[in-house]
Amino acid sequence: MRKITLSKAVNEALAEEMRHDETVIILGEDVAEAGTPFKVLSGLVEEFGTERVIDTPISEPGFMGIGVGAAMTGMRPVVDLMFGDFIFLIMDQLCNQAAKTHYMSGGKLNVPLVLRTNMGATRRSAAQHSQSLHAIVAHIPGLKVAMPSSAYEAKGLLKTAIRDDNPVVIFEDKLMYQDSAEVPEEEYSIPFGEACIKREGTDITLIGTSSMVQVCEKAAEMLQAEGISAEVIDPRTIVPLDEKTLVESAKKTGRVIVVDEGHQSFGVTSEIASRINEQAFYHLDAPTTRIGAMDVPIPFSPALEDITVPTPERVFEQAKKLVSGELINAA
Amino acid sequence: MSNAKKKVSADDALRMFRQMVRIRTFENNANQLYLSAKMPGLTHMYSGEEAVAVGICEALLPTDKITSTHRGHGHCVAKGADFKAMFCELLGKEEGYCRGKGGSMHIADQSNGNLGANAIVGGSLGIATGAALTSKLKKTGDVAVCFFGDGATAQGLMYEVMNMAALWKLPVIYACENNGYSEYTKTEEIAAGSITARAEAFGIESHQVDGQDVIAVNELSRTLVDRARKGEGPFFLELMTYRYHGHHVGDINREYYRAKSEEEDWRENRDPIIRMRAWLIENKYATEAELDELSKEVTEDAEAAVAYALDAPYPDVSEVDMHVYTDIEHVLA
Amino acid sequence: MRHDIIMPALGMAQDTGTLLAWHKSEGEAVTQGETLFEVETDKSTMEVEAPASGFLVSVSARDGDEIPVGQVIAIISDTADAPAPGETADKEPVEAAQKPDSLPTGKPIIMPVLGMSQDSGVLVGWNKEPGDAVKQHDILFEVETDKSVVEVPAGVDGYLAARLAAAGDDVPTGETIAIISEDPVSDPVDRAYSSSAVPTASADQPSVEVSEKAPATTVAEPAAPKQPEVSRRREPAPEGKVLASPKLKRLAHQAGYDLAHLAATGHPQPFHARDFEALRQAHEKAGKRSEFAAPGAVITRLSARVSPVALDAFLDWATGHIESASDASVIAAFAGASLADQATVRINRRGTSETYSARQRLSETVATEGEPDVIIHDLRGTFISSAELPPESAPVIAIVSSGDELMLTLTCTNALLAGKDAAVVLDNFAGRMADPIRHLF
Repeated sequence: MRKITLSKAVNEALAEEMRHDETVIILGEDVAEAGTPFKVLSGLVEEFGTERVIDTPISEPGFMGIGVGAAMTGMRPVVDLMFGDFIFLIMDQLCNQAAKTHYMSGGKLNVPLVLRTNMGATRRSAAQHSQSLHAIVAHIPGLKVAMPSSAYEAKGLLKTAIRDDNPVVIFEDKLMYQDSAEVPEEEYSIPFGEACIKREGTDITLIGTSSMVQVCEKAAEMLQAEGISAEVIDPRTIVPLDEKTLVESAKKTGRVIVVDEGHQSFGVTSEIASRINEQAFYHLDAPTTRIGAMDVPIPFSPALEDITVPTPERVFEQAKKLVSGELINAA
Repeated sequence: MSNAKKKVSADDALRMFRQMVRIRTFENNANQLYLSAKMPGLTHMYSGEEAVAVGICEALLPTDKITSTHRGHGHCVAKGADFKAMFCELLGKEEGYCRGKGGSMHIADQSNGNLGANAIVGGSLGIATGAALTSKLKKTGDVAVCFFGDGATAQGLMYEVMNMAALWKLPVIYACENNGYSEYTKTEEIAAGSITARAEAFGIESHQVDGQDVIAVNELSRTLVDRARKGEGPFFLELMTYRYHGHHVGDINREYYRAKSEEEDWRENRDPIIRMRAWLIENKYATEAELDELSKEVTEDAEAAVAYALDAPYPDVSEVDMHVYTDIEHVLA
Repeated sequence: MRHDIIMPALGMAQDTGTLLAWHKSEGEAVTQGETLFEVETDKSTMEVEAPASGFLVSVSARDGDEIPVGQVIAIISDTADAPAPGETADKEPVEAAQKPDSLPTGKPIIMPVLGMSQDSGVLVGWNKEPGDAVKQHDILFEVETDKSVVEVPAGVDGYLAARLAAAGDDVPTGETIAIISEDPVSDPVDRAYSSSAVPTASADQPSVEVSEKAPATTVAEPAAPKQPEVSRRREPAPEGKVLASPKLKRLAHQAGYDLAHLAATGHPQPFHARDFEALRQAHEKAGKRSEFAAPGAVITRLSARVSPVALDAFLDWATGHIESASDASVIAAFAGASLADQATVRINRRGTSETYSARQRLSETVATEGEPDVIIHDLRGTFISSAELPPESAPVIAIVSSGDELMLTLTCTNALLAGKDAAVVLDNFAGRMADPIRHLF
């Protein structure tokens, strides 16, 4: 099968959906001729014109609000937020307006909007361009949250997001735009709420989101060399969350580590670990543990930044402790 | 009162009068429901500002869109909403416009193009502008009107979306209802410079109009709505008006920010309904008796709707996790 | 035309307002818009205007009163006379609702304590209707507690004047659930349980004497899944703590193994699922059975009815002729002998618990300590007429008086006693209870 980059996969998904449905438009800063700083959208304005690939001023709340209004009245806007960190600028439009409109109207109004943005540290972008803020969005009922872990997921999930009648926030890891993966030539989409078992195993379950799936897969390789069989699962969407697949795996292996690049406290790792605890407790042979980004703003210095995020080595070490039955936090 | 007899037919004029009376009557009933502890939550009365909503909405088609505010009952009635479903919503009943999930500050009536009231001051400026973007891209010819108060002019969102609306020539009309008070503070204390100049800075054609004169509001609105349909938008209106009640129903003792004499002056000398009534009689569009009969009909209609809503059932508790997503019937199931 | 003057709701979450002062007095003429009274709410003071012109009448609130919002506090009437009483019906229900409960007088019947560490009982149903005449021994209601259903008699003669709980209500023990009056009542009370409505019956009030609290048994394996109320009571001593994964705890529980046995071998902790085989071996070595039935385990329930006539006569004789014999030791000997040549029998009766090393010979059946092989709940002489108590660390036999007969009910799990063996044991025991002479031979 052909291999394409995540950037190209996103571009293809947008192009395909814009060809299928003329209500699909793109709104955001430097989305047209510039094709965004990551060049993800290059070529789209040439095919679809400036009426559908719309450059906006640097007014995040403004173009997000316009996106919400356009979505409520018949368009399917894909709002491009250049950096995930800017989500804090649009919180009212995203969380007070888009997320609640369907509910507040008793089901009469829909907001079929996609907010495409990114996440991920270690790009030396410092504290305001490196955050992974998906947990903050996932906390708000009414929003769906997708986290592709490769080019394949990026394309399939974005196509589903565009066709969804609800507001969907999709977080792409900005360090993965140039990573290639096998992506079919023919069209496909990936349903929301279906986790993907990336690797089967029997001794421990590693649950990873976005780029942390690769971290878990690398850790699983290292564990295999030690004779430990690790299962790797990618939830793909955290809202809705495929709880069943995660819990079944936890019951099977009896040990779970949840890995996510958001800050560890009050985050996705906590939520998933808690659900596993609630639903698989009597099958657990070790405490379910979390590995998230350190609870510090992302520092600039490479020497500091690299230690803030989860690594395959940390996952490997933690997994070994759990499988060996070492006493963890029992004092 | 505008001397616009030739431009306004008797039917149009009487319909505008009736709509203003309906709003006033609705609010009087809502006020009573709230004070008698029959209505939960908080509510903000539109009484006094009727000519603004009616003058503008009477210039719109049902397919045109509006966005409304926390003081939104008037916009909702003016855009064609039904008393029963509105009172049901105010009381949190299943038959309400939003099945009781929105309440006074979130009534939406999409069948008449009302995209909803918004409890965030200035929160719907983006939504109205987005609706205008849809109109332009889909070439529907719809016009979007964004109602907001003078207080919302202090929100940054307004400047962002007016900028884009002007850049993209969107068919949106920003209708600033300047009732002189930003919650409990005089507008002149929170707004530097002129309100209309804010829009003019973006090259948006702006007008200031007497918001107590329904004929004047309607006449200007018709012109601007037609022009917006032709792609000449956006426009900005500052409608000089007054709210008779406090910021919300419980804001009773308000002399610390507003004198009773000022309120009396607006009520007695600038009331939009009293003025329109005199104008109708003067122009022989109606007799005193006919207008009394009209008011009586509206009162009976409202009382029947209130009685209906009071007796109407609450939504079943199973609805609590419905309508969170379009495609998941019960999100917590 | 009359206008009700109500305490207005002026704040967002305001339930009441304080009437600071009337600006008009009763009977005075008022004009619409005039200030009628002042209210204090949410730390602010507000003047409330008269909604209509007329005369202020039927003033029911005074300065300083705190009044629920929505309550009528006066009326503006066309005349200075107060309207007829019927017209002020609005405020009657408010007053009525605020009156404290008035309940018929009589003997309170409480939710009895029927099981170990029982905080409440679920009322299964009433056997009498409100107003019915009841006799002391009539079954008044049924209670479900600790997996058993118990029929509770009235305890006194009289009339069921009030039922203060409904079928399905979970009522804390000691709470009054009915009142039996000496005389018939015309309008008996019948309602669901509400915790605030009825004062807890005090200790000197008559209660149904069925309490048979078994002593708390300690368990070595601390955190295995149990009923919440049990685990609360069985907070293990720190030194007895066994560190084990939830998965192993579940496996141990299902198999009926006690993790304490594994801990006793010195096997390194924390225990995990991989230690299950070691646990099994430790269990076999200890030769013990786990103290509790696993959740979901099949429970065998067998009942037998016997006449108490011969037993009563035998107990009279035995306690008079054999020095060490008591009712309890004799019954313990019967039970023990039904199980094996020698067995440890715990017998619980009227709140006390005794353990015997039971042998065929009554004089050799003596008090002992240790874990029982069978547990007897002797409920004769109580109001309980039917009991089916769950197996504990050993099979359980409940003895109750049921009419003219004794009902013997044995409950056990397969792990404790296989079904066919259970039948033999109960049959054996029933035979001895029915015909004690048989025991001697």
